[in-house]
Amino acid sequence: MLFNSIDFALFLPLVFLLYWCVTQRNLKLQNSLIIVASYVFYGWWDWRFLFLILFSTIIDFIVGQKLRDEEQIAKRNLLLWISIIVNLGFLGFFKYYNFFTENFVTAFSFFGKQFNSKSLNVLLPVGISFYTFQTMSYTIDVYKRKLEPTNDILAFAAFVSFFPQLVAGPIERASNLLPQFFEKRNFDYNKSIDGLKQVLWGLFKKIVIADNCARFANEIFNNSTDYSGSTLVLGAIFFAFQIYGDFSGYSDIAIGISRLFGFNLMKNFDFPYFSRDIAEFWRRWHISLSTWFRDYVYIPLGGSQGRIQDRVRNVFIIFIVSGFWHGANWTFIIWGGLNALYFLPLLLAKKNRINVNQVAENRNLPSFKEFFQILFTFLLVLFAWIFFRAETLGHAMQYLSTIFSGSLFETPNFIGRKYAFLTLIIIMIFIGFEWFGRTGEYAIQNFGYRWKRKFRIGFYYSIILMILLLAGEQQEFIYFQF
Amino acid sequence: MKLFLTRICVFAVPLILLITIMEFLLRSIPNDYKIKKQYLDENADEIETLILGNSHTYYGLNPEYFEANSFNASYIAQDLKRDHFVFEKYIDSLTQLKQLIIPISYISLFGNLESSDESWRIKNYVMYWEMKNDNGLKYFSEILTMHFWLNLKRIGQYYFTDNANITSSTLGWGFNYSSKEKNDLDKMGPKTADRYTFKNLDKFDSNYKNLVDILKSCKKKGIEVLLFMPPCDISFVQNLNQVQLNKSIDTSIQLSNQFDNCKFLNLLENDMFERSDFYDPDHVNELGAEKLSVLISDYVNNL
Repeated sequence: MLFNSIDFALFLPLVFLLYWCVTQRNLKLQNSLIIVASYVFYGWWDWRFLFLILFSTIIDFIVGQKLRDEEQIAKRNLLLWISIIVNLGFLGFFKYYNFFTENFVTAFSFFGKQFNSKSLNVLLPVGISFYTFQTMSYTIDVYKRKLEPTNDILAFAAFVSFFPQLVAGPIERASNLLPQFFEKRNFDYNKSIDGLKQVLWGLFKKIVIADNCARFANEIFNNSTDYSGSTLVLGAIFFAFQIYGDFSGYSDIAIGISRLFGFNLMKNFDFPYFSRDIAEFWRRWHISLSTWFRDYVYIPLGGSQGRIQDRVRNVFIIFIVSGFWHGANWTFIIWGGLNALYFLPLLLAKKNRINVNQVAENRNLPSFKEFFQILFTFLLVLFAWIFFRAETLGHAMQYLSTIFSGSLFETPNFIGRKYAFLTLIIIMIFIGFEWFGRTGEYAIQNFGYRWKRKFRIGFYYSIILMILLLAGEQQEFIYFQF
Repeated sequence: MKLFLTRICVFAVPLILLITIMEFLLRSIPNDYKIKKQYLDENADEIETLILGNSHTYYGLNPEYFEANSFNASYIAQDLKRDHFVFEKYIDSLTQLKQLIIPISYISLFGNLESSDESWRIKNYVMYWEMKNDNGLKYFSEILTMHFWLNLKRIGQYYFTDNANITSSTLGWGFNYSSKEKNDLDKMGPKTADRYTFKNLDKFDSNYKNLVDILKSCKKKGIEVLLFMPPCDISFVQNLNQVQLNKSIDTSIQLSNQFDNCKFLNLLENDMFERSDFYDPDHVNELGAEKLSVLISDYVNNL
């Protein structure tokens, strides 16, 4: 069920009341309720998906148990590979079977060989890219002896299936989230209020920013051959805010809901469009995934140590795999490759960690230099987003060739232009809130904390009213398709 | 926890009150669905010719030009599933019914309301026609299925200007596609054809089944059925996908051969209709509706 649906609006209060009023006395009951609620939540899409997550949970729990007692390296390796193969096997089959089959056939056709391949009409289980990575982090950490394997199957199953972050992250580390299931959660008023505020802000980002931007991004991208270069630039900007509003909005809702249940999830977005360089952008965008790849792929490969060619190789591997994680399409691979090209000069010049502090720290406005750095980084990211959004490589190339043509200087003209102008104003206001709230976990966290209660309540009602009045046409969360 | 629940409830009360009042006000506004249902409830036993279907018949067939006592029970985006529902709901009351008219347009056999941009209309069948809802809880509500701003506008228009946006005549025909409004048919035709062309024909089976069930019911009751492909502008016709089009025509011909109470009439490229008869590439205006209604009326009288 979607977070912004009536089904979830009825589901959440029910689970919340049961959690704090009925199961609060007993840890096992609390965790059991989490599992039941999470399986109901997940099964709402398609009950058949539940077998996958159950199987993944059982396999990784058993692997963890076996790793505790096993000292022989070969057997430990075998156990780890069982977990990786099962999890990546599911992912590979459901997500990538058709991609590999089609490209295999295409590749062999260049040599004059024709194969009759069978594309499967495979339904992609929602969230599979997220929970498989989450459970693998457990087995890998246990294997490396960074984490003690748990004997508590209930806690483990709750960790794997925890519904707020099950289908679109953040991809939690077992070392952060799993221990929270070992202790009974006690109700915390301030934490719950903060959680609700974060949910409200997440809904605003999703319903007002993302869904409104989606309307224009879809219109322009789907009809890109009909529009001028200037219109296509606008389309890319709308997509940039669609994907940010959508994904960071979902993360805010997930983190906020988790707080309602007494859990702390990791931050997944840290105002990435205020980044001063691409390295900073990747420290602020989809943090849970980028740190996962850093810790479990990049660093084991050698990271930024070793010869130049090794460092270059590692950077390309990490970004291309990250692109491929997003979907079975060459456009995602090119998107990843582009980001690798952006990142490499900084890494090789050892300038990838010069912007680690908050932009315009202790100041209200950025300096001119910071402003142009932010703008330049945004343009680089925007260019890459075109590949991310395009249906095919051909589509992306057509899109870019139109942008870099004489029609770039024409006045944008597309269906819904007047309403798009209003949306751009809303985006500017949104950027303002994000900028002045950039020191918090989310933009409005510290907003109005000195105000009298009635003014704060009035502010929250204003956001709700804006959500109701300015809601875009409901779109599914983009990252559900990953 | 008690303090939290108390404060949340106090915060939520004004919102819940607002939503409840709006829901009540919205449900009280007259609409085309209520009007059509009321007409059928009161007059079903007098109807001799019943028209079902989507916007192609809603705007295309005016019962006033029919010789027999006729009613147009079609509506915008009404699919075969809903046609079947409406027909079965009133089949026992339609004691005088002799002819049933169903359009088989380019999209009829391949689309459905659930997967279209008009899916919000499902709530009208659920709430006002008492159709069983297996599409989600939101379709039990006016406020959850349409944009909040649109709902505010509807409330304002009705309660302050007495405008309920009714577009149906007394006999159910959609009267607001006027010949005074000139649309660029050449520009719209290809885009409309593309919008109605389905990459996936997987809904054919369920639509076919609904159509066959209607035909079977009619056969039992001795009711003649006319399936017809509505006339469309050349700009639309030239851009149709031949696979989808031929499947529609072939299926209609096959059904007319299979059921002796069924006839199929293909008016897609009928030269009786001029460009000035079309409101847009696939809908006639009131001038075209008059021609089409007379033509269909004459045809069914000879069934």
